[in-house]
Amino acid sequence: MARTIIVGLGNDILSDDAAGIHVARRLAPLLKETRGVAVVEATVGGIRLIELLSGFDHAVIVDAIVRENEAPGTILRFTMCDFSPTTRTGALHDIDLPTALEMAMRIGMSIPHEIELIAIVASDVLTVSEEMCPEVEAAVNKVVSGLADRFASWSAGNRLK
Amino acid sequence: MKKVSIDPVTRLEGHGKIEIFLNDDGSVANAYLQIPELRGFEKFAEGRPVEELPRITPRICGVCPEAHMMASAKACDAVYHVELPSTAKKLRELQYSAFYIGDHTTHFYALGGPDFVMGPDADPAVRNIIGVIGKVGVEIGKQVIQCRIWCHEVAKILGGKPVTPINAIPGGMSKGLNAEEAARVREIADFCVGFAEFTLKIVHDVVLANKAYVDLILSDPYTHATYNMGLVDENNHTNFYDGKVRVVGPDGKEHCKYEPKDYLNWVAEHVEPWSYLKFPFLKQIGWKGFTDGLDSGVYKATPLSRINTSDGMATPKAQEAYEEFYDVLTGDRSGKKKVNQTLATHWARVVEIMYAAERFRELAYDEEITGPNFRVIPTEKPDEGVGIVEAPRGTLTHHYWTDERGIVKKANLIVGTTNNNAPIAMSIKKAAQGLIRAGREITEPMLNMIEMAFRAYDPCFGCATHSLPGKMPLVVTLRDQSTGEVIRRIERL
Repeated sequence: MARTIIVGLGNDILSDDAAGIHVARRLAPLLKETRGVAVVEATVGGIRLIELLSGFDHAVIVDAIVRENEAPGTILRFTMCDFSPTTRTGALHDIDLPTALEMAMRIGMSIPHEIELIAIVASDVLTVSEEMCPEVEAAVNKVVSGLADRFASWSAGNRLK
Repeated sequence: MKKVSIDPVTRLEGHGKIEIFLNDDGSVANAYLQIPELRGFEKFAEGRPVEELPRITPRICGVCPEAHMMASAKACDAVYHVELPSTAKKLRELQYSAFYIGDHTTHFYALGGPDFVMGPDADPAVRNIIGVIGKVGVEIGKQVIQCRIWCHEVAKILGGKPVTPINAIPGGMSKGLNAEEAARVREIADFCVGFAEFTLKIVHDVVLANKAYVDLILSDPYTHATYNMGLVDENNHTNFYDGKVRVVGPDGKEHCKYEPKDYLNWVAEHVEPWSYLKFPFLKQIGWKGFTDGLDSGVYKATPLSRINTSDGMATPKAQEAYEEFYDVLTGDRSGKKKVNQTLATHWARVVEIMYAAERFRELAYDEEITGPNFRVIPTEKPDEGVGIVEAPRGTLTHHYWTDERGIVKKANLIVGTTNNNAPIAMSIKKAAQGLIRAGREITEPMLNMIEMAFRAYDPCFGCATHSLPGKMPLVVTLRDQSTGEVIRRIERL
């Protein structure tokens, strides 16, 4: 049976960058009885993220995204097909997710066969603050509701990791 | 050369941006890397209990949370005037050494290494860790991942979580090690020493065996004779966790050696109108612009600068690697002649992997690490304190001022990458000047050669370690030096 990990990525002292973290924190208690679904928060990317996903069949990653032509709070959905590998990185100290996934496959790591990405458009990800803007706050609640409805009755026949 | 100033409103944030200013004849006048920087941490810290900062500051940077935690905890120790028990100090250094191994390993194999293993002008599609694995073998990829996972496991054993640990607290550590945990830590440490030996062998077999790569390391476009900064122990040997800050000139002479609390006597920060970034420099020498040499206060704080400030390494295999490093690059095994070639930073990083692994193993087999005295409760009245560690990417300083209740009145941080803002700008300019000529088409390999100038520094963008899609679009903008007008913009997405 499938095992799913839902990862809320972000930084909880960096304004709207906390969006994914808050999704994970609010979602975890709602899904704690759901077998086969793990909810975690993390401030990692690239290789470290792959290490986190290892062993699961299905992954949902929630994170903030900076987009010039989208309003803050807009919820976007991607699959890995939407991203092309690059030699560029989010931080100069890591590799991007597609490259990390390819690396994982090359060395035989067990990685999810399906990875969904839910991105919440952020307004500010550079100011140190524990406050998100109202639009992102609303989007966080919407994503939590959607994932809770989707997974609450979902059950897999194996134990949580 | 015409002077140009850029209106602050034109500053672009959110991704890396190289600005190259051209003279009328098409040659390079100036070049800068602009990177986003977090805003407002000092204000965020004010009014909080100082003991919260070792828990909060790791959030500043997803790349080196352990470095911030350790520097912050050390600053808190100083604020409360506590002397750490030996067990606490050893546990901190053990955890920090394991962190170093994982961090440096990532850079060598995934970021810096591909330029040498695959070649700086290789197709970008293979000039990455995938190409490295393809060339040197799948088994190596597995070893790299195992090394990282096990080093994270050390953080989990000690700190309860593998990422962004929060276990260094004022007066020591939040928990100790039991015998079973210590046994596991020893197993990981033994593996890490073997992995470090293996990594040094790759430097030999792949990089040093290729004369073209050695020539590239020693080439003028990647050479800057700046001062070097690093923490050293009482024997002037590199130490990542503790010691005095030593600064050595490009000529090998010591400029200064100071206690962390005295850093403001030696370091100041220069501000430029075209960047939010500050440019630290040596106060006693002064800011003379973006230039190197003994008369310029510009300094580096990198693996290369650390090895240059050190009279040797404190562990045997790292000392062997140190001597060979200097023998190959200067012809003198003693290390008295300093290495001023930026690309040698990659090799220095591998020497540091070996030192970190050996030090990790030394501490792992020290019986004191399972001792019960891993914390003392602070009892003195708090006031002011400075904590300095070597982050993998440079000397990291945390300085806190509190009231008598321990509430933060003021905080000042100089992060590792900030130390290198000036040399990074200089390196990019020099590389660009060596590559960009009037009327010459700018190719991808040329662009990569310019990037290599700053990749060696392993700079971190604290705010962008995970944001989707997980890549930094690098934008290179060519501007007219006299008008600031954009001539061409090259984006690598």
